Amino acid sequence: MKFAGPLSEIRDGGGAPSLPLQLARLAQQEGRAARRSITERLTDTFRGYTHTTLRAGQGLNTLSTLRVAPGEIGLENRFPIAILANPPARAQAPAMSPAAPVPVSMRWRWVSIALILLATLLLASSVIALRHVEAKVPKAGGALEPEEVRLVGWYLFFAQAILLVVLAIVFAWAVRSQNAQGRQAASSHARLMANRALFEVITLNVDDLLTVADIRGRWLYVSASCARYLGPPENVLGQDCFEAIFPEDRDGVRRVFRAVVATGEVRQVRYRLRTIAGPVHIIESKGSVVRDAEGRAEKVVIVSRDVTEEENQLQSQRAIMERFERQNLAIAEHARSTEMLGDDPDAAYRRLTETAAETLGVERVSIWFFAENLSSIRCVDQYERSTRRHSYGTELQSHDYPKYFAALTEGRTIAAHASQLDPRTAEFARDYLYPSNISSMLDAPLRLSGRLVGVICHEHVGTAREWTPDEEAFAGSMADLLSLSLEVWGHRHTEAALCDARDSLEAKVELRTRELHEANAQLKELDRLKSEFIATMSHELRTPLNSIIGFTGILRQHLAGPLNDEQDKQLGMVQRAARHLLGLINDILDLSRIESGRMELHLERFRLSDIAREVVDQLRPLAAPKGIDLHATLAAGEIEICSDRKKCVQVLLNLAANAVKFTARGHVGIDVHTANGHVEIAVKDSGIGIKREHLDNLFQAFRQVDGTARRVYEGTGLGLYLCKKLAALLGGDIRVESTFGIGSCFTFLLPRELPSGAVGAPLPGSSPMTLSGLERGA
Amino acid sequence: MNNRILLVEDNEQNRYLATFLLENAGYSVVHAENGAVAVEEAPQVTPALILMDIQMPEMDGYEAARRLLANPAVSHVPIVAITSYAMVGDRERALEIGFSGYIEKPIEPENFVEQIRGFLHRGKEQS
Repeated sequence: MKFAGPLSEIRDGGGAPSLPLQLARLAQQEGRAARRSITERLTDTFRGYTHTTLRAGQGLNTLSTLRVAPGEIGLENRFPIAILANPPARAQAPAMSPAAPVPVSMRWRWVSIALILLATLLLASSVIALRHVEAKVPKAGGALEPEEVRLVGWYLFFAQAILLVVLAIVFAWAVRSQNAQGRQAASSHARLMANRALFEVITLNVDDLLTVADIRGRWLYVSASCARYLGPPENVLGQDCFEAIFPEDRDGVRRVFRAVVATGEVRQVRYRLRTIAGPVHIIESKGSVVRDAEGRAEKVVIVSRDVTEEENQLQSQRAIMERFERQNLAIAEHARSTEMLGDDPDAAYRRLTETAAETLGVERVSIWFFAENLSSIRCVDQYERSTRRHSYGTELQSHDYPKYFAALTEGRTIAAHASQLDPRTAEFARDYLYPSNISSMLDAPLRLSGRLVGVICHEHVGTAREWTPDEEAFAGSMADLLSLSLEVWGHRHTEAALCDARDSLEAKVELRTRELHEANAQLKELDRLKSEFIATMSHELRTPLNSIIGFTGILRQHLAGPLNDEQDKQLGMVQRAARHLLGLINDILDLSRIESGRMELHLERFRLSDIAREVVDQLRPLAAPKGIDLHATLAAGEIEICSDRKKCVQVLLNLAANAVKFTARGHVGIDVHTANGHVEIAVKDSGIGIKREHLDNLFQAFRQVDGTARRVYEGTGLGLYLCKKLAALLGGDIRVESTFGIGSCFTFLLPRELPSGAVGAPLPGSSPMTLSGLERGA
Repeated sequence: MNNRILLVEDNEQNRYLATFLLENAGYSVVHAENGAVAVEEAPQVTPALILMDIQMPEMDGYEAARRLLANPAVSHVPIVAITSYAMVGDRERALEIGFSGYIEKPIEPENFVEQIRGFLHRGKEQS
């Protein structure tokens, strides 16, 4: 329900309490017709309103009137319609009102009555005169005949009678006319009253203040609506219209007033006015001149409006804008500050708490961080505005303040206007809030990558403070800025850690490389020592072998005298054993050289047929006793290659010797031919063959294919292994095909040319052989 | 005809073996236990051939050969190295220094004398 001005004005006016009584008085004082007319007009004007109210009161300078249609009187359920009746002084003497018409017919009545009386006297005197004449005429016998005098007398009588009748008629008309005019006058008075009331209603309801002043600035008229500003009109009329204006504004207003009078233009001015009740209001007035018949400025009509609220709203809007601006500036400045993303988080904390405290005008601002498990928060900086001091280090445990922590961990801003009563913060009341006189708290959560990490607390001291949305937003923005800082620091920390890790990794790699180098050097040294040891050992072993082989040779040549058969046979056994031992020592020495990269190649051009024959010749003494057909098959035309002849012979001899060894009867053939740009020397036998599952072990060191075979066939198990290595060293390979029980075929592949730079390059299609000796030798 | 052979060898058994074979073939053998002795005695011995072991105490075969070849009194005498297969690069080094040839250990009694005869013959052709 809307309560407009007039309702409150009734209360203010003080006339309200005894309204029914006032109504009763009004009924006596006001003309019936006027009241009826007013009500009719009001009903017309405010058709649709449930109630129509006439209202008056002391403060409003009117009679207290209240007419509520239909037939209800009371303060309740009233609608904001008020009608002001006549001022009391005029209402008490309506006939004296200059505005009331004086009836013209009244004067005519008295004149007619006087004339009628005169006519009646004349008539009576003429009758008397006539009677007197009649009596005198016979006695004296005068000039006139008595009959003539009588006739004149009758004429006069009749004339006077007619005059009387005319007068009477005039009188009657006058009376009628007077009555009619009286009625007319009453009716127009009522209309006037109604118009005035309507005017008053308008002035009341527009809330505007309608006033008229003379050109010297004295009030001629003030509308009822002015009462609350200026006081009762009767006290105001004739007073200086500038009096109530605030002294500082008064001259300005006066200048405008003069300008209006002087120029006749409509001017507007805004000023402060001290109202009769005391409070200062801001008024906006618009003045315009009213001129008299000669065109001289006579009055100034001033229409004024109370703009206090408007002004206040403007002011508060301006204040909000200023606050916004200040907050935005503070945020921007903090964001731009060197501390925000600097290397010293503590400096950034201090700057932030100071900025927030100054901008929001709060006593204390503090930054807290959660422990990992959210079980406690620790203050990293607290700024106290009144002392301009920073502190830190306080720690709060969640079990001491469960409700506050629960509210915090929700992650929303805690805006506690009355922190001592707010359930979220009341836990602090006794120990902290009351002693520190903290009334309001605003806690903005701190997030890092969406995770709650802390809180920025704003504590206001003194009277409770309602946090405005923009202040909450500001606190949130500052928290966001700090989050940004944390993120950057985090990244930087990670980067630094990465850097450290990289550095330490590099250091480790360097260390490890150095260690490896050292280990490598040690290994090389060990290797050298090993090779030296092997060389020395083999030399030392060779020296006694030299004697054994030499002297057995001498003995068997009978250089030292004759031997019997048994002696010769036994010395033959010693010689074979010594030669085997020598072969073994040489194999070991070769392997050691290959593996240590010290095996040297002596390249020369030679014919394969030569080495094949050489091998066959060497093995004939072994093959012949077993009845084995040992032969070399040579391709048409000589095949000449460039390689290490001695090593080629070594490999081939080894392969062929093996073939002879493992062949009980049949044949051993050496087949030399070319294929795909390289040469192949195949050693085929009709020996025992090799089982498929043993082929893999064939080229491994110290292994004969079958442990059982070892007893039957002597051998070190180094031969094939060394052959494979030597073949690879010569850029070739050894392949084997075998059928168990039928025979084997070992093929020695060799490049035609082994350039010294390409030593060890395996043949295409051959299994790659990685020999440490090759790598180091290259 | 000079058939003296200076045998420079520290191992007594080897010395005996070579001496036996050479004397059995009709050569006269003079012994030196190491390089230093050989360098000292060679001018007096004036051998037709010097058989020089390489690995010896005091002065090894290389150094001894170098000195002998530097001595005009004996520089024309062929020096044959008895190289051990065990020592890598012995042969190359030996030929580089100026040895006339090499015989690999162990000595093969069956063809040792033949080898010596070959060197002596070659040395004679050269001189």
